[in-house]
Amino acid sequence: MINENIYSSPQVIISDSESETRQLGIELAKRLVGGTVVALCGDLGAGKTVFARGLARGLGIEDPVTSPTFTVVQEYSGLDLDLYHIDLYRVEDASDLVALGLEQMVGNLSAVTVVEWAERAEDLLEAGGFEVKIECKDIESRKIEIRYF
Amino acid sequence: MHILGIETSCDETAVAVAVDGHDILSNVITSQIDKHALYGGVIPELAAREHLRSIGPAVDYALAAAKVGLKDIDAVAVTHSPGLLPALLVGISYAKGLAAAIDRPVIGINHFLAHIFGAFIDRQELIADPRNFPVLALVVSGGHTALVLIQLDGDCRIVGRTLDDAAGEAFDKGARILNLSYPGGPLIDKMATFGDPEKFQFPRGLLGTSGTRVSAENRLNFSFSGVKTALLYHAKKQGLAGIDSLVTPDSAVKENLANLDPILLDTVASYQEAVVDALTRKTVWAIDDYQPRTLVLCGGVACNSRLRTKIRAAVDARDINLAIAPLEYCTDNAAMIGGLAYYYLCNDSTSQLDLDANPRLGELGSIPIASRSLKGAPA
Repeated sequence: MINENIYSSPQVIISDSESETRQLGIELAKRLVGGTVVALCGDLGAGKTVFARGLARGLGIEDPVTSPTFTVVQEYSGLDLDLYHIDLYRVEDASDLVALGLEQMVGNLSAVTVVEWAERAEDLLEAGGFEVKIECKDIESRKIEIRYF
Repeated sequence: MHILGIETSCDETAVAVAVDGHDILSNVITSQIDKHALYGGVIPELAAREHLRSIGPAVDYALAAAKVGLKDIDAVAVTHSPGLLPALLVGISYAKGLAAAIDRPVIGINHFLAHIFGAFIDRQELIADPRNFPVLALVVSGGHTALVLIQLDGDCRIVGRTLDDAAGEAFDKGARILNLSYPGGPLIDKMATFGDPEKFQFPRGLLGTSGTRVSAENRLNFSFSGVKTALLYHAKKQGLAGIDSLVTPDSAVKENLANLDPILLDTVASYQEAVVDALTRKTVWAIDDYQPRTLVLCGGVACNSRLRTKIRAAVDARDINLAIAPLEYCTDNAAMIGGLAYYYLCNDSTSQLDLDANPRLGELGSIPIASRSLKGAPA
């Protein structure tokens, strides 16, 4: 469960399954306001897309949320807030993100921006938002740190 | 009619001159793959910059190779969706400018549908005969994995799609996990021939093989994120995650491949088998459900030799046509753009100069390739 005071105090949660990780995304989505960035950090296979899928569901998005690795950006229309789903897996230089329009997405107050491999563009993520670090403990369980910055 | 086709949706700047849909006079591809190999993937801004640099010379080269001039061009066709936004915009802006300058129509083409058409460039007789419809297409690439049903009237519907990763991405990320070089697909294909595909069991998503029932709505959908995660743990367990030397295409000559760690080769073969098996079995289910008269296999992953073999075997067991896109039309190219545009031109469905890029794969709408959907053709 994500604490009420997640905006003021960071939280560490152990997720024991993919569905728990997804559920955390759903819960976090309900606490988000427009213009927030959710920066997802973690290795290949950690469950970043699973968490992002939870966020989308929490925003009322019914479409399948597919990996944006190839397309880099996927947009979805939610109930109150839209979602930009970004993957920086193939982006090495943060200056390349300007051309992608990342700043406009982050500046859009009627949308939430979730960024996978966010560690690759730290300086662009100063807008204010959540950092979600996902670490593999074993095949199923994950240590998930959520911190507002 | 001569159509100049332009394609800049991803890695490749490609320009082609196509006559009446099927006669390809030139097909130019300025490959950027070497630069991307340095980075391990496509970098959108870099791609856009490269497109901008290459597109002018590529157009000149395509015209010269086709032995035609701009005065001979009847329309300019360009990929407008889906793809990387900055990359798409380079091609669209160029195409619109050129079309306005020579006072010819511009035609926006859906890259995804063009890949399906690629399988028919050399097989015009298949779409000329209404009895070969409906058509079922398995479109497999780095960005997309979908089963598309095309009716005689041109109506296109996605009947199955990936819920997470595309099959090509499964190959690319799998290669990254095993420290193989980019692009991962061709290398996995080569290495797999030296391994045992039955040695390790990797999960097949949404096939019910793990004991969980597949819901009706996911019957024709795909999932490849599970097999990727399974490979990650397998590689860690077998100590494969940190092989010292990157396996590159240069080192991929036969004798080197055969001498690689047998566990690595078996892993690659088994991993490929899991992806190919899921693709093939879902395609067979879709054939059973929709009874198409023609099956199309297209997209970058259609180059995979194991997939070709298994799909061919599945189709041979049934009495339907098989159209596998030729290798040069499996990867991104502009011949399929200029070729497909002919059918839109025949239907007077050209675009306006406010044609815009749409990075998303939205509703497919209609692909007017059947003879019946051609204007003036008998109903």
